[in-house]
Amino acid sequence: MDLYLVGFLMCMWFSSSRVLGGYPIWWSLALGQQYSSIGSQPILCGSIPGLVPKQLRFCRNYIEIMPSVAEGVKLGIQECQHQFRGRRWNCTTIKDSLAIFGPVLDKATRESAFVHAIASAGVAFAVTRSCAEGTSTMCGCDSHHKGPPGEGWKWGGCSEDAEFGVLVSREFADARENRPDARSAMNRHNNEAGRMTILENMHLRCKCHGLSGSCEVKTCWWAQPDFRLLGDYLKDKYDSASEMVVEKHRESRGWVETLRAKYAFFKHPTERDLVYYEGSPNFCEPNPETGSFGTRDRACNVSSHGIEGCDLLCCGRGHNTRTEKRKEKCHCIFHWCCYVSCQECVRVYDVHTCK
Amino acid sequence: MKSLASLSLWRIIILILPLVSLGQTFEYGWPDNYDKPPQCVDIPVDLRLCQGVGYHQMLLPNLLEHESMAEVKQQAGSWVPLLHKNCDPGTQLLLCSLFAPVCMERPIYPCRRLCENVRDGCSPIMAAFGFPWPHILTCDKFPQDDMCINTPNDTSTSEPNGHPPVCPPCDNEMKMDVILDHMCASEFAIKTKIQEVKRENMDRKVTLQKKKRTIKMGTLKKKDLKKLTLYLKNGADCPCTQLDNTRNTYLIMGRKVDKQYLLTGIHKWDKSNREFKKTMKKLKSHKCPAYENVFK
Repeated sequence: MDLYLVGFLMCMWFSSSRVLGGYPIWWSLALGQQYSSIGSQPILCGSIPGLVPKQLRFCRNYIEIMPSVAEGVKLGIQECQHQFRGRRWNCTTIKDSLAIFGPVLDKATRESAFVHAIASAGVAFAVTRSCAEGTSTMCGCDSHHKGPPGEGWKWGGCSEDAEFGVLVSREFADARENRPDARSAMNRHNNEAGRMTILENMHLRCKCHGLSGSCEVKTCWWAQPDFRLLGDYLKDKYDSASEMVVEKHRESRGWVETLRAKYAFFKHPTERDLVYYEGSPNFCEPNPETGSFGTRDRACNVSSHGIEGCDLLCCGRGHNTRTEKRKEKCHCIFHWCCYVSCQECVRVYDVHTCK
Repeated sequence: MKSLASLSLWRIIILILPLVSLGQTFEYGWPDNYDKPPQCVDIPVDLRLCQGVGYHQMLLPNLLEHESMAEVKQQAGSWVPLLHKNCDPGTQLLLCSLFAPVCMERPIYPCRRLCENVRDGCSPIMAAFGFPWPHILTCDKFPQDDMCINTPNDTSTSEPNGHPPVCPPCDNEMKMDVILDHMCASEFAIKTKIQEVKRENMDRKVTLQKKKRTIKMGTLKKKDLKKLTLYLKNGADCPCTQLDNTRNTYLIMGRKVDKQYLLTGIHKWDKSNREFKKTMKKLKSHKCPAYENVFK
């Protein structure tokens, strides 16, 4: 058994050395349905591709938490696709590939920074939420950080233990980012920026549950923000990401690469900012080498002058317009008790796509 | 005779709004977030507010953000006394469409008109017990189209009967569950006689006799008990046979609102009545819903 695993890992190492160098293969957890199941079949740690030994040990020791890790990566990818839905690069995933984003994230680009941050935040978020829901026996509500209650309310409910979620995300996502190269340093930084977003946006959530819903009795607990808010926040960080340069230093363990801000007169990045050190490819044309799918046939907004508008999204190539008839439910009426009846209407839409 | 609706309402307590606002704009379909969708569950037998409402399954969490059935039951319990007042035919439908919403592909909210009818019919009675119309039932946030819940046979206006409405705290059937519900909705209950009843502005001021026996102490203090004066809120002109008969002994319930003690229930202490005797016996073991328990 152990020999087989050693052999398996050695094969992975030699055959996919290029991919292992920069790519978190374990992100494919988000796409495999078998990894998310809890009751039907257990997670086989050995069958998850791309785990480094530390992650493998984590998986075996904390098998209960692994479904939340998978759920978290999925959450991050969903949010990435929402935030970039009108962009030239729209966070497309490739089916049947362990490198689920393709080579676009091989380079140390701004896009790579965002995906690392949102995936890391997703894992922390999903683990924290599952702890509060009580699906795992090794974590639960946060009983610390209580402090004295405010005026007119009491502590109650289940305060979400975001510190635990962040700890799990750090242990798992950063386990493979311990190399001395610049890419590893960048990934660690951006992973941590994603996690900091959660800790800084924890808020007090309250409920009034006195007589007749009054606020005579009011209970509050710490809650994570909605993940959409985290996505919005990190998207702003993506837009204002800091470009870095790679510096090499000789240390006792050999050459170590670190990152320094490229432009000294700009604000230096804090631990909450995203960082990158390689330029993004042109996403206008398809390019298998860079992983760009191009914007041909993408739907665009003809009345917008923003990035999702036809001028910018189509990269000046122009757009086609066609009309589309769609059948939709309309004039819905709720009948007592209980069903909804609707008429069927045909609406005509103008659909604009890039040439 | 002026109806209760035309009387000026007791001033509304300014509610401290919860940090997470419950007054968000409702949209059809589940909101665009990553929360898990509600589950379809049977309406439990002991959710008395919604027994006989016309459907048998509900969504959990409900439309008031109650996340567990224990929370739903606890919060719905304080509304059961209002049902017994029969202040509007749509009361149960309005409350249950939010506390125990029907299971549909998307949430169905009560119609604004249903909410306004219930509010106009019931808020004077709630005010008499010291409760303002709550923020969770603000009518402006409910839809006005056809995709909402209305009373099934929505007649425009019901004919008012010839009798003037009885003062709400005096309109008490001699039924065990009604008395127990009022007991839970009140802060204190005492056995005593009435010394004097006097009009004071829109209210009636009830002075009790010195000799009292405490049935339920609640938040009442011993020194306050001695010179207790209760107010029948907005009750200057409505009939109350109990207050007209000062020779009887009464079970009197009340609660404190600001600096006034409001009369919330008055029953004749009638040991010869079998229902009353059963109620007083049951009272010793009856547990009112404890609000903190749900969140422990």
